[in-house]
Amino acid sequence: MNEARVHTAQSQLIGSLDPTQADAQALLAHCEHLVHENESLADEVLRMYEQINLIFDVTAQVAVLTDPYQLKRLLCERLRVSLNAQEVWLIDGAREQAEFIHQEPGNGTTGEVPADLKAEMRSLAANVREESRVLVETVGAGRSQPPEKKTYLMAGPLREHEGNTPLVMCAIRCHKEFHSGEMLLFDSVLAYGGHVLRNLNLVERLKRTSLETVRALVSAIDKKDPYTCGHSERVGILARMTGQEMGLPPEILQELEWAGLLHDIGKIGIPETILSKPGPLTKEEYAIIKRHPQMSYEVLRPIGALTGVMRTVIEHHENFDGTGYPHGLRGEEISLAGRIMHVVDVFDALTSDRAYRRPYDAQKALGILKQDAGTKLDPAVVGSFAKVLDLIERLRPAEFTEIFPKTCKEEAS
Amino acid sequence: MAVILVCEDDPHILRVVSLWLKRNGHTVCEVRNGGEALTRLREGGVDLLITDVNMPVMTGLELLTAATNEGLLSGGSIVLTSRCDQREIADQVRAVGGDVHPKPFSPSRLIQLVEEKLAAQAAGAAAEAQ
Repeated sequence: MNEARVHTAQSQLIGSLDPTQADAQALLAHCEHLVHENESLADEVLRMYEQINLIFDVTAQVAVLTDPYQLKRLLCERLRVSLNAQEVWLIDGAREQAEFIHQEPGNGTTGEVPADLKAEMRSLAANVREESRVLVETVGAGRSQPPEKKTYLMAGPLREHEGNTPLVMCAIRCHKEFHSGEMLLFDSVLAYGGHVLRNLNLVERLKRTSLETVRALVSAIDKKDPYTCGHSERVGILARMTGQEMGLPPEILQELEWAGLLHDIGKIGIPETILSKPGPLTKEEYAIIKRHPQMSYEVLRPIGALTGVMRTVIEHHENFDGTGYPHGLRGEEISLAGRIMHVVDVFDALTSDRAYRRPYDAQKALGILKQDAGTKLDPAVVGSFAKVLDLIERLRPAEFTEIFPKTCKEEAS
Repeated sequence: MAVILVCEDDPHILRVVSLWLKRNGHTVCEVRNGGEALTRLREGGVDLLITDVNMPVMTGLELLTAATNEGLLSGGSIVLTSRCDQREIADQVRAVGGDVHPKPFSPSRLIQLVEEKLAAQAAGAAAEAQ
């Protein structure tokens, strides 16, 4: 039925009622009540829609962020919109410093929190920390004011890690009594956000721990063989820089650095007498040394996370012309990472103190690399490496002379 | 502020969208299906159309096509829908100047979209006047 017609019929019917009659009055009151109820229901639906969309939005956006700080800002911003908050602060756990995430323009303040509000914020923050849950307080003179003037402060913990939890706090000017639904929403978003942040932090810590463990292992090897002190670290850095010069993506650069650190780990299986022999090696001794790439590979194989690195490690003595070891691979059969590793390994060996000779300077070593380009070494890699060397020399000359040539610092003591 | 035509066969959704727009200062005209919407659009004076898709008599997509062909939708439109093939119909809708928004809609996002479309319209009209 057409809405206009319904309205007309309604009006006519109501018009025909005798307002002095109790029944008529009751009917009119009921109609008004229905209209009012209808609107209240609509309001409730709108509120629920807003809340559920916040959850949809936050979960979708959070999935793509990997930076903890960006994540925190996103959560604060979304909460601000959905709660219609005038100000949002991110309060640092350790330093108790409040950072403005949002402030309404024209509020009269320029990033400075008014003194009386500061005290209330501090007190609320302390309570939230102690009780470890979302709390709401009415602040300022608004406490005994009519509802239009009330300001609510709501704060909750963002449980990112143990101890020193950051807090998110917002100031909301509201003309109604503050609603527990908003608290629950706030709590949900913070709980979810906290969970994701914890994961991000754990992943970071895991990566760091892995790297530290690898470094510890490597330094153990270096201590056994004094002539390769720092060698693995340098090879790792040089390999990474060469890879960067050749335009390789970040994941490969990371693998190059790790491969550099780990490439000689197999030397732990080589007798020290051979490793530190001052004179030339016999054929048998050389055959034993040639086993170290394979041994490094075998040491690393059980570690699933290092699969990318393993190939580079086993290939670092393969020659471009196929005359290398252990498998005699040639040209592109050797991975680019493996070819890079060979070049930087040779360079660092040439510029290091060895039991059997003094170190060459960087230019002489580079000359030898160029002589071997095309046979033992990939000419493209040698070319890129030369650029890297030039870059280091130009940009960081002090570091350059410190690194090349070098003697093991422990020898001096 | 603006005259918005809301086309929706679900009475409670119609009520909720209407109320929200009115709260934000707009004038709302309510219709229950695509046919009624087209009739109202022909009368003129509508700044923006917000419509559902699945409706009797004429679906939202049919409405958009017909209205665009008659040059009635210069202001663009917003399509609110609970259909599960939203990505697929999004291109169709965009081609006629519309934006798809899923149900349950976000009240804040809806108002933002409304404001964007009205602003674009005003900018377009100002450019034309020059």
